[in-house]
Amino acid sequence: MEYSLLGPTGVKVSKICLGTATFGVAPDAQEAGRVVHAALDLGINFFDTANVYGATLTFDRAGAPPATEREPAEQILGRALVGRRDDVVIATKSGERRFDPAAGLSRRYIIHQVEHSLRRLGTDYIDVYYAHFPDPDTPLEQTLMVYDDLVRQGKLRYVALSNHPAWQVTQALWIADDRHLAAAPVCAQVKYNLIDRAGEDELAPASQQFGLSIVPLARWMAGCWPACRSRNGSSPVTGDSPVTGDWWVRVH
Amino acid sequence: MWLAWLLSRPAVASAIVGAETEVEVTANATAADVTLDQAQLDALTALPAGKDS
Repeated sequence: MEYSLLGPTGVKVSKICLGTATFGVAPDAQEAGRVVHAALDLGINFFDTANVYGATLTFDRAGAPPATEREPAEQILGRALVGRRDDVVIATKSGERRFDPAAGLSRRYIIHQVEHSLRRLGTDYIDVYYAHFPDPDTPLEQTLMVYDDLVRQGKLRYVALSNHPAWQVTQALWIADDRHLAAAPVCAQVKYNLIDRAGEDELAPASQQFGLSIVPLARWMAGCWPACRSRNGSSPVTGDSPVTGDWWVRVH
Repeated sequence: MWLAWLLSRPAVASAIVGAETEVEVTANATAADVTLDQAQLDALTALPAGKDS
């Protein structure tokens, strides 16, 4: 396994970060423990989770128990990492509002959610804490000020942004600098793969300019295949017809 | 292959991948160790991008 420096943190993370969004569904809780241990054995030291992963409707799947009966992904991850906590970099998030109208990036919500995440993860600190999605109802300054408090309290080590456009990443850096907050984002998470490369337009140049890392959510969504098929005559790499699916499989 | 490409892109430090089994996590970790030459990287970069759903 190779390692990268994560933004300006000085912390080295494995180039593969294990995502846990579907922990408790597939893999189920027991298998998830084995997946985490296999990841550790492979040299993976970077684990990505969120307050909503695992036990919310987003991750429902036929054959899996209903969301209310599933264990949150953070809890499964925390249990799997018992005894290894200080060897790994745990990233978690809050702020997704899809199934929770009270969610967002307010001081009130974030403080609650950090406490819940610490308890579920079974740790007293979070290495990287993301704002999961932008919150148009909360000034970014308020969010960064509560992050700064939590960093100074020792509950968070670093702060980051997920699904935020480049201009908001830049605004966050500006506010943190202006206010001397220990809450300048160190990395930006974005959906990014061979097909979906919107992050290359603005986010990548901004991240390079300001020394942040990009942490792509590299999941290849089901929509890839029709998207490929509708756009291409044949693969520029292999010449295969996309209709056969050959080139998709090879590229993948 | 595409994971190795992704890791070669500017500012990218680490790629988040899910895994449902031990086999999948091993496959993903191995994929990250693939070394692509410049021609392969360029060919992948030249693929038409779009909007994944």
